[in-house]
Amino acid sequence: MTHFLNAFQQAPLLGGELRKDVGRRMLDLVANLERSGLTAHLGSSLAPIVEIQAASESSGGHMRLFHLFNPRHQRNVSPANTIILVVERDGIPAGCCGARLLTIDGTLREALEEATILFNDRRLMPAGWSCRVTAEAATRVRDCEIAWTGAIHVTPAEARIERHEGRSGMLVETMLRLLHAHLVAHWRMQWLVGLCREPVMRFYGHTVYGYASADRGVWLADRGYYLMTSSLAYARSLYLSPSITDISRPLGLPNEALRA
Amino acid sequence: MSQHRKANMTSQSAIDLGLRAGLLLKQLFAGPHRNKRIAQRLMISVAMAKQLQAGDGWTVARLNQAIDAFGDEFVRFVFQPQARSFDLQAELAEIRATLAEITQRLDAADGSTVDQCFLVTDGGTLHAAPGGLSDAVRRILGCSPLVEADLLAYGLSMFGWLGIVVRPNRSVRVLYAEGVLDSLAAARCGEWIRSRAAHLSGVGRDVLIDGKWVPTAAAEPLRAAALIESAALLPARPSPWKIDRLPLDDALEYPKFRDLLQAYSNLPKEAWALVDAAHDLGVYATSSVVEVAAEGVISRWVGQRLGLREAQARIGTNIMTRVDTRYADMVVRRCREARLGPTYYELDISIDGEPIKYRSLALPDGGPGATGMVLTSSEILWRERVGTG
Repeated sequence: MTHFLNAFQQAPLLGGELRKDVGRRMLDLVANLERSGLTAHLGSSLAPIVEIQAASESSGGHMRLFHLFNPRHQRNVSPANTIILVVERDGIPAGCCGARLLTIDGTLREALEEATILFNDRRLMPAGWSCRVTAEAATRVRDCEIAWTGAIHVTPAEARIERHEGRSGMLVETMLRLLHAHLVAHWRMQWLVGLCREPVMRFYGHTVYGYASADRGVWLADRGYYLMTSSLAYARSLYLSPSITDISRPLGLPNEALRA
Repeated sequence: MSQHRKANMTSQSAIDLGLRAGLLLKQLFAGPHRNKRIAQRLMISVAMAKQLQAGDGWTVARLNQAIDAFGDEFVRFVFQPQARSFDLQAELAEIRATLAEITQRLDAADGSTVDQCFLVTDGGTLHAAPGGLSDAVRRILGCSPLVEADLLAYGLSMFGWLGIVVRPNRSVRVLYAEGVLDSLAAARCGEWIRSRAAHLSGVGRDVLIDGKWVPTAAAEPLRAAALIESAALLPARPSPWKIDRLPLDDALEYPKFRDLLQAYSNLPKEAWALVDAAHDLGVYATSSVVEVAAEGVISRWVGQRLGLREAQARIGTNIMTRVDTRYADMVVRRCREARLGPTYYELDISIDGEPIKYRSLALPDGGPGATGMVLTSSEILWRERVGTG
């Protein structure tokens, strides 16, 4: 794992003044974390996510390991298609999130229903697994590269610290901003995509994760999910904007002038 | 003489003025299609736009035209370079840097063995860095010591800053990141080197490429100043490089490679035998010859049909003094590898910012060994000329 700033500095998709502005914004976000005793690292192995999930489950937490972030289902994990953000407190993981760069041939709906992106090999598919998609966005996303975000988790111990210090939600908000800013600065893709359950979509989907749209209609083994999507243009305008450093300000709101 | 008649300026101040005007154009029109956008704005040809950026062709009429187009900003930048001193912090930083330099020189006269460090930020302001470059970056960014990242690399990569380290032996290392170097910072560094050229023994560069420092060979100070300013003009790498080593048998599809391989197999392993054979085979125009030595890799021949810019000027120079450090480093590694035996590659890369795809056969002259000549013959598959209008 590499310190977030050391990994971010390549940023091949940022040029000119934007590069300098975003450089300062990322520094502000990281400095804010470090003032709270937290350090953000980036890597490309799924192992830290598996460890965090195991540790979280054993300490009363709940973290589902989605197929795209489960090494048992993914055999083509590489730095070119995987970014994992782990935030540590005193060397112990406090939270994580990750993203996979996927190529969609045809529509996202077909890719999900035929399990071509969720499992590298159909033999890795659990018995009885099924996926049905009615979300309209899943047909709009087609023949392109997408960044799929997931494995978002804050450990129970860190959540208790946040509550105790009166800054609940700060870590997950910062992690998602750092991760998504990194993605739009480094990966050539057209869409940001994620899946979440309805309560998560309502509380986090737009204002914390920053997705533009939420479409009901992805059923994985009969559990219903919302498909969250943002076009690259929307994601760039959001995660590279000056307001990204203000953690107290929810994402996706109009600017002050517009609200007035 | 009509007041509108073109009047070429020849004094040193006029040259400085032209360079500043060119620099401002580059700043104002950063990004792709710069030449075309400048040409449209000033209603001139693309060729003239390129010339103006290089600091040439700034007649009085042209300056008037630019003043009309860009207004006070142009006047301040071109005619009042001291206008930067309105920024009190920048002015103070410059004074501190000068004082630090004088102090360090006095220390050096007393036999001090301490490096002298300076940081040039994106406005072209020179800051003294008595605590080292990393400390200076941290101070200027207002970062607490809690942030554990390599802030020097971050400052150079994200903001286009530049570090200068003066060794006690008067040699200088200049540090910057590939593809993002700020042109004002580079110009300030060039100015700093030129003003001290007589006191410096040589200037090398350490270029941050993909998170790794690549050291270049030291160059004479005036040449190094020009290289650093040119590095700021190199476009960011357009796309990831693709370099594939292919089986030698694949080279047989090209008659010239087949002939060279045959000559390599049949010739006695004597110095210059292969180079002479390449000449006799008529492939010299698309080949290059380098000498791999312990102290560096020196260019000995560049074929005219390879289409490399300033090809003749490269002959006799250390390849690691080229402005495009990523390309130079790749060539050096490939030549050292070829000293151990023939290699055949397909390369989809960029040279001086120009995308190119070619196949290249490299053969050791005089038989394998760590040092000696390497002959490289190339077949260009595709190339894009940038900035030719």
